Amino acid sequence: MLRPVLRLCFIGTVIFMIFFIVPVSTVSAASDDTVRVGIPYDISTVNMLEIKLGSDIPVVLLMHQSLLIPHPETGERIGALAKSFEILENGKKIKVTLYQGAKFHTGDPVTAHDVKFTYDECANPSNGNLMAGALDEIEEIEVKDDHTLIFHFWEAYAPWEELMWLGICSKKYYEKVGPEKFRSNPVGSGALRFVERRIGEHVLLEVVKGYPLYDVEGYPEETYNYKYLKVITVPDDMTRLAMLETGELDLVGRIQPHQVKRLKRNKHVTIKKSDQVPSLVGIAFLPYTDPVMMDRNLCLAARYGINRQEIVDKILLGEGYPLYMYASRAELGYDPNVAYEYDLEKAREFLKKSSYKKGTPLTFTYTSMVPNAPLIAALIQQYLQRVGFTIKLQQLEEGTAATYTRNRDKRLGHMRLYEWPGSRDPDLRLRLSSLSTSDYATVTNRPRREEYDKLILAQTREMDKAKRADLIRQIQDIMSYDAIGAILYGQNMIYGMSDRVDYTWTPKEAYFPHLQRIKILK
Amino acid sequence: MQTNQDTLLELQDVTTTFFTKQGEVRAVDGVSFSVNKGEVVGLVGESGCGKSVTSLSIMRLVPQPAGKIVAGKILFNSEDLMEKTNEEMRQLRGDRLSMILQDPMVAMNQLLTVGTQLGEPYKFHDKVSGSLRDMCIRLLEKVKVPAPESRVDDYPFQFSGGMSQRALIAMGIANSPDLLIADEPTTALDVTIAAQVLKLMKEIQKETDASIILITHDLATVAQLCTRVLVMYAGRIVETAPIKTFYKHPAHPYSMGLIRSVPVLGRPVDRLFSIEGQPPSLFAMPKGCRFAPRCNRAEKRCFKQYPPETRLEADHSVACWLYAED
Amino acid sequence: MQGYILKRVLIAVFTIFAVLTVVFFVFRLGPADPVSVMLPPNATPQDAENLTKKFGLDQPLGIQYVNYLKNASQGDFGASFRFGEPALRVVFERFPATLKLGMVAFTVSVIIGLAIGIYSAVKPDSIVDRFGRVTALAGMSLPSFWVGVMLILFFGVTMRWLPIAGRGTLLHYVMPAFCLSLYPIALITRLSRSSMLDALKSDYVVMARIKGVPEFYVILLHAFKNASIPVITVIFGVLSGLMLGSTVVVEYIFSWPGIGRLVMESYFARDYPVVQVFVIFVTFVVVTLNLIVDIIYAYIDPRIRYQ
Repeated sequence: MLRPVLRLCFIGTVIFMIFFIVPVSTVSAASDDTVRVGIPYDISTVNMLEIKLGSDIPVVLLMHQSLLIPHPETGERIGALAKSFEILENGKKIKVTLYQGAKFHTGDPVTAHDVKFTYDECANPSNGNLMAGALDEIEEIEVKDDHTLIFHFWEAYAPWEELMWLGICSKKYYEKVGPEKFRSNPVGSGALRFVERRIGEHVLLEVVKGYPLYDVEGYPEETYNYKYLKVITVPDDMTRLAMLETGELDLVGRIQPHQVKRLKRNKHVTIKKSDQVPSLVGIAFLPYTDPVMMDRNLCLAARYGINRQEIVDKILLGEGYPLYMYASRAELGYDPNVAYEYDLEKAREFLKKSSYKKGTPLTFTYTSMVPNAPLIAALIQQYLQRVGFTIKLQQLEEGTAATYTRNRDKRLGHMRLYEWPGSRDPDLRLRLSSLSTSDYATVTNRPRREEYDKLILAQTREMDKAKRADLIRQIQDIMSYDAIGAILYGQNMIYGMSDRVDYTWTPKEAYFPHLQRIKILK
Repeated sequence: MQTNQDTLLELQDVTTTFFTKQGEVRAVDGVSFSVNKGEVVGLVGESGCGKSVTSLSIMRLVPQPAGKIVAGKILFNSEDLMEKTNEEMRQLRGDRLSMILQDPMVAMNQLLTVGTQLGEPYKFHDKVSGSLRDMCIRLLEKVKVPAPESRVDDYPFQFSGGMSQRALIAMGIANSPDLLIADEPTTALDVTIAAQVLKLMKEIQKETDASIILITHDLATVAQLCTRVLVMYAGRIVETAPIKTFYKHPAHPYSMGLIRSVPVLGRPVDRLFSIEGQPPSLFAMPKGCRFAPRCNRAEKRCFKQYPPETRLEADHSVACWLYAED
Repeated sequence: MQGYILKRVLIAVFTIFAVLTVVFFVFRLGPADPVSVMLPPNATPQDAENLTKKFGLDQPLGIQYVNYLKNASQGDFGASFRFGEPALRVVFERFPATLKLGMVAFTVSVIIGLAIGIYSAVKPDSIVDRFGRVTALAGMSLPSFWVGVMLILFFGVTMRWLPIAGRGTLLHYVMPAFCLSLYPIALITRLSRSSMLDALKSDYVVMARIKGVPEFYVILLHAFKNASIPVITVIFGVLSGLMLGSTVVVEYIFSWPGIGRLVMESYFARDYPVVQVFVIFVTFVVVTLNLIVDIIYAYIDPRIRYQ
């Protein structure tokens, strides 16, 4: 009986030793001309005209060039296809002059007709484009000549720059191949050309030879020293980071703070951070579930009773900042002076003054969309219980929560943890979620409703930047007075890359911007 | 015991033990007997007395890994089977040494045709001459299965009980073995079919001149077929006698009990005799004579020591204190 | 036999129809609707209305159902809400990946499972048997996501022997296939061991040995043929499981672009057409595999064949 056991142990030892003697580099390193970017989701489409989700944008925009793009270093808007803008009739019209020399991957020049075509198709409701609603601001696009066009707005539209990022598609190509072919094999004028898309696997793009095809002032576009860019879908966080460690992926974004420690031990991985990304996590109070959530004192009790710095330190491990207002650092209207510092006594007093009856359970809903949601929810529950609330936690599947939200379903509970992926301009959000006539507004019966609604509409039409900023500040004041909930924190963007590449996040952008600017170091 | 020219099989102190979780069980405990060439020997005893294990020991097919032949010699044609390799044993089995199991319904593989199973003794002993199928048909003919040409392709479940038993016998005798062990070949059959099968076995024995060990608990079967009887009780042979002596002058009280429990035609009985009590548990064997607890003639020493074997006549011996010369 | 197969095909059609109906309604009566899931938070109610109309969800449920059946009978299973492409194409684009991985895992589990199972039954309490029993216990009880993560960390990150995720080379199959086959190996090992033990104890095996049949034939022809009937049920159960459900976790962890992951994502996105095609396909595969099992039974066991 003993002898076979010993023999087995011996064989085991031999195998184990071989394990350690065999050189580590059995898995071949990534081929040199391809850069691999790991993302957690599937791109829902590669067709600019049918973009449905914000997460599609970074990949689709690689293939297309836009009128305006953010400057890769400062994040400020600069002209790309558009050489100049001219604001006419106090903002009702905007005249755009295009650069000459820009070409689509088919070789055709980019003209004003292509711009008009792209905007018209994106606004066409049947394409289901996520910009369709926002583009309703545009009454008409008038093509003056091949390189000049005028955007006619119904009324002056202050955040017009927010509409200028659409990737321009080739009208000629679209009309030649039809919508089916265009959907599966789009053509743009971007730095990269579409090669293939495998649902569930990757999107493969190829660097366009000789790009850029024209000179852009103030935009340091360069020649890229790799051939292919592969955007690979790896849904599992652990797997994605493991692949970054082994070099199977070159770039991974949205790394959670607790995952950084392990990655830092690997000398082949570089970790970078940006604190200039739009990121806003907060709690929404839902008055349609229970009118008590409209109580200003109750809201203040919650605002003062939550120790945001502790959340940032404990859960974000310092990779974020406490946020007290409805705008993140990267957003227009952010004011670092607004603060509800943690004060338990104050919170308790406000709760006493409120109409909240002690012992009434309030439901706190969260979904997995917010990173570390269960931890944060548990911590919030602790804070609020300490103030004197009774809090019941409820985890919902994201789809269910989204539907409840849209239908104002009471099953969503009294409060909800949410994350706003963010944009740099607050207009769209204000008009959608705050305007009392909007279907999405959670608070529709503010005491200063009329004044508030007027301010929102006014800032949309105010072309003067300083005046608009002042209007937005007034809106923020009312919001911080009203019981709309509590904002918790903004999170830094942590991204990691293998030591063969270098990449820097563009400030103020929410999704992987300018992926084409990855550099191969070796 | 001297091995003479006529002795085909001789067991010397064969002990087969089962190692179970509850403890060791000596299913066969120092059994010695011999079988001459052409002889039909009956091995009689109650169920669980070790008859089947004895026969499996001879075949060296005691269920593994629990069972093991721990002592003794099994001489077959003067060669000790215990010293044979597995392959040598395999070559003997189904050729010179064969056996018939009791229940044809479970002893036949239900998923293979009768022909396939009949052909195996030929196939695996390189005895195929001409068509294997023809050989199987001839074999079925021999055991009087009607329409053998079509029956050979049938599956066992298409056979009746009697026919299955015949087919099973056919498998046993395919290579005209020197020794055929028949383990209760008629138990599973009804009386008329059993009689036919026994008749068949008798004919085959005459024809092939094989030695047969007939294992049974049915004395009537023994009377029909055998020339000599071995009585087994709780793992040991208690009496060996020629058939006539056995019926007329059984020596061991157990044998007497067995004979008295057989109804005899023409002799009216109020109630059939039965031996009182149960055979001893294999885990708790009595120290002395194993039959003593049930024996109405037991003495003190019967409980203390196992009786020695006493030879009453040249071919009649018994293990009982009643006959011991002390 | 023909009548029997015809009957089975009719039952299959009915089963698919019934399962589809249940899924169609249960899915739509659930709490979430695809429009809310699909739209970004800043979409207007007009967008929502457009999308609802585009997906055909504005019509009453009954009419949606009738329309779906009408189109489906002509081979049109609708377009995926998420990808905008025909749902049938979306599912079948992803199926080969699952099929390949499933077949590798299936082959590995059947070969290893049967080998260990049979050997353990022939040599009970041997090293292989003990090892097999421990492995089987581990395979039954270790969750595959844990095993997957451990494999990735050890063979992928620490040792750098195997690529972690994606497809391409044969090496890519090693970890997911192993992870996937752990449970089936355990199942097949245990079942083949116990049914082989039973078979080896039976009288026909003793009889075969009495006839001098060599041990190899005793084990494979006599014992295994009888023992294989329950084993085959399990093997095909494993096969349909591998094709359909049990791959979800493994495909997720190893980023394998198969239908397990697709259907999970489609469920969360409330992509009705894709899930419906999947359900039809699954039912079809299960029904077909059951039919194959029945035919194999009849082939192995004459008692079934002659009924």
